[in-house]
Amino acid sequence: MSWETERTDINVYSQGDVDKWVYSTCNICSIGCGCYIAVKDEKIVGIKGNSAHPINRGRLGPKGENQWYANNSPDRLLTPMIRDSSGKLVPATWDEAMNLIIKKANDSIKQKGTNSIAIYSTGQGFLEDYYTIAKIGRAGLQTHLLDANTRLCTATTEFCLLQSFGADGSPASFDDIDETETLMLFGHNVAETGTVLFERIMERKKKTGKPFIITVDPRRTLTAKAADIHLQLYPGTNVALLNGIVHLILKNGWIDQSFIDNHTIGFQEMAESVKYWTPEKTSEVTGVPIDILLLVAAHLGKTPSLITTTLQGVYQSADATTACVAINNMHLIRGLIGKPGCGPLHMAGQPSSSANRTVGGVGTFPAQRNSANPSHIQEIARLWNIDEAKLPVGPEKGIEEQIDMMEMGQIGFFWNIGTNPMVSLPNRRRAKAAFEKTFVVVQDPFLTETDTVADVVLPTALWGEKEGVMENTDRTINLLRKAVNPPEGVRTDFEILLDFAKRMGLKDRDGNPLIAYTTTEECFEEWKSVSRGRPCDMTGITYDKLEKYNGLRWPVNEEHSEGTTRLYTDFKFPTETEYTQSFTKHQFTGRPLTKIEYERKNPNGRAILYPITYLPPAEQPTKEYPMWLTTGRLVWHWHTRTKTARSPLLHVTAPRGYVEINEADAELLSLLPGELIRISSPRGWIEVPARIGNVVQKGLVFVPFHFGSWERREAANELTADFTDPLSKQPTFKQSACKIEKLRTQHIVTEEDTLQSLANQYGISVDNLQKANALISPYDIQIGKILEIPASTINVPIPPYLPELKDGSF
Amino acid sequence: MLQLKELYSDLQNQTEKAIKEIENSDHSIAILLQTILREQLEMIKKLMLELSNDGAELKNMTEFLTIIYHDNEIANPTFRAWKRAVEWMSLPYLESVRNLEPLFQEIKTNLEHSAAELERIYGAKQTKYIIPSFYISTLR
Repeated sequence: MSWETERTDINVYSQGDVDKWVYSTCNICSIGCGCYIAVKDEKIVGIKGNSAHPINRGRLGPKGENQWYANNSPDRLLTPMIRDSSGKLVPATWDEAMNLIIKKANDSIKQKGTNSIAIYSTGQGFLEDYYTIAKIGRAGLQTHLLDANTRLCTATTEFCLLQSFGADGSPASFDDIDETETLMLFGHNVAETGTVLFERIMERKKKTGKPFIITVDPRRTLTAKAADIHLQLYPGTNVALLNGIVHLILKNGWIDQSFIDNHTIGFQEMAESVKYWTPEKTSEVTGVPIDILLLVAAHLGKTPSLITTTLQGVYQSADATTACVAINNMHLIRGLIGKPGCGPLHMAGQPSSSANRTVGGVGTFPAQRNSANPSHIQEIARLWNIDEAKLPVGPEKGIEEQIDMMEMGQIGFFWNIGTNPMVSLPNRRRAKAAFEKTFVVVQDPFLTETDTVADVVLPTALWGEKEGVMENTDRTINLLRKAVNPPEGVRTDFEILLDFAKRMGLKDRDGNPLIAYTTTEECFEEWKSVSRGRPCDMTGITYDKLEKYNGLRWPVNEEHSEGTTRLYTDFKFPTETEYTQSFTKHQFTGRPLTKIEYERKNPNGRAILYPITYLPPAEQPTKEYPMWLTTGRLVWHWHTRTKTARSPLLHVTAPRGYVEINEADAELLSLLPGELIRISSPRGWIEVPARIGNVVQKGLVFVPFHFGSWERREAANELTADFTDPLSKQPTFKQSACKIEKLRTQHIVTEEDTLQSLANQYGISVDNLQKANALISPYDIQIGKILEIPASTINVPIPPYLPELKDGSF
Repeated sequence: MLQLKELYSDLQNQTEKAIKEIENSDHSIAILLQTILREQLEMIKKLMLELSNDGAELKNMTEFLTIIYHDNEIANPTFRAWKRAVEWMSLPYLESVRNLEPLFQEIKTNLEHSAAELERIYGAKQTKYIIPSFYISTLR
């Protein structure tokens, strides 16, 4: 256990003592902090960290502490809604809503075929929900369109792991971060996206000076400021940087030849691919100075242990999967995997997106089964007692391909569960137009921006109102007990799915109900049998055991009854043809390889090294759109703020969208701090205040993606391009082109005007008026001169999150 | 079998034309598309060679067919991305995109016809892992 001390973060608002504390897990980010939910008078009134949970020892992040306010929000949806003939969403009974859903699903199957049904779920649900989606979707509806918002967040994790190691599942765990000598945070702003993990890292750093931290990020984030070295590379150059680093590692012989010879294949081709990535070339492409490159490569080449984490700075960038595979390559050639303190730790974004991947609600078949391997499909058919022929196989389709299909009228029924794609999808106006062409069911605790395209809305239970398990980013399965009943009229996702299966009359091959379980615990027990013998084997888990041990990392079976800290300790990888989760994809084009091609490679238990090709981002600044645009998260909000905007503290702390601009660019444009400006791209425009500073580099602007109301023009995804990574099909949110336009009126100076009188007239300070017009002195204005008057300025002070204030260690 | 030969012959012509339309661009998406189409063409040629033998067997064509279908399945969204990129970045390939649009549609249609024909000749069980789910009608 890393934490030497516990600190029980608590946020309760209650008159008198609470009635009970109910065991749970934080439902915000992917770290998976243990917690207890405070209940008084059958109402959630607070939360406290679980001091015995090894992941957080009682600590909670700012969003975690405040997530429960949403449960009591007065605007909870309490009844289903149906769009009526006048186009309005009106309240309906559950029977009316479900009957309409069943009718539309059946209509779609009859008119367009089974592949016209799409289920688009989430990374916020429970493993049992996802498993049920997988079973209903694949065996019941026989559709191949199962995707989730995990496509926007962790699809790249899955595909890079399949490419290199043969199966999903992060090789290293948080315990390895506690032991490592070097931690490379690659496109991973952990200080804002995983605050408790960041505290854990920094607590050790403060006490021991370890680990040596290298961050890679085009922005000077809070994480970058805490690092020993920050590589502030140009946008979209992750792969170029990695090629330069691996080139130097190879050139200097900092490799583990024995590991390469015995446990990998593909070394020569990989080495050949980085041959020309000299420090000079790498520096030119990435903007990282040569001396820093040499320093970093030497450190990475010599460190005895290394953890490399990745997150959206890689996954949502050009060459996403390729960059992660390049990181896997680096670990493999150094032999830094399967050992304490070693391995890639490709993160997840959401609290249970990993579970969705593991159980097959998205991506491949349940329990990491290969949909191109007939024996795997036969096995699933046997486990589910259905006809093998009914299971759709082959490569999956990501949400962006589904948007293409909607545009072409091929999807007749789109079931949106626990996500808000009208804010989170790139190029959202295009997405909206596509969604409008199909029947859309939205399942959410609140009305969201996506309800503008919904035909039916189903109100669902929130965290604390249901039971189930989640899988965090390091394979830990955590339990969440039910603390209170959902509000009257509200159902859990699980209950809705079971009701749907029953009303659809989904049966197994013997005519029995396809879904025989009635509780989440029964569902989990069935899932365990499906997981048996697979890398994610969970046969050794029970709900009670999860509570007793405060989470367990899979595999958990007879051999590993208390879970598995790290994978591949025997340096054997799940790449045998009949066992592997995937025959992998062509590393450049993303085309799935055939079984024969895979067998020809003959990895047979060895990891796979790949040649790495750098491809610049699909969209780059042009004459018309000369700036880079990147988007991302704030520490104070979660995704599209469905929950966090309902917490008074979080909302007040970060109430609006903005754009971050480098001070040199701002000076060039004479922009004022907080000045309302327009950011446009070939897709659309927003008008937001400017935050000026040095967090972003020159030529780059940053817009947080949380804010997406249709009324206020501040949604980052009005601007983003909807290109995707060829392997993971994850959209490239991080690199688009844009331009900045000032929203100013003009004033022609008359003989009566002074700067002071003009300032008074337009409600602006003299100083700002002077600055906005680049006037050196107040006397620079002359009659006839045209002055620009900014439309308005809005202060956007986003305070940093300071966990030190909680334990007084600052 | 004759119908298949004709379909793949058309497919070869269409793929060759598509490659010509895009071969001059060094944009990232164009490079991807060129790579995919070239592989698709190579596999079609191998398939045609196999089909020229009397009594061509499915087992000898499986590999080529699978790659062709999977290439096409990734080529289509890549082409749509290319189209958007050309429009958004004002790249000088608008004419080429206009020419490519019907070609990609024809290729997809031919592959759907070929899927139906393959399934008719060899049966759904034999072709399940060759033809991706979306090239076969699920209206049964």
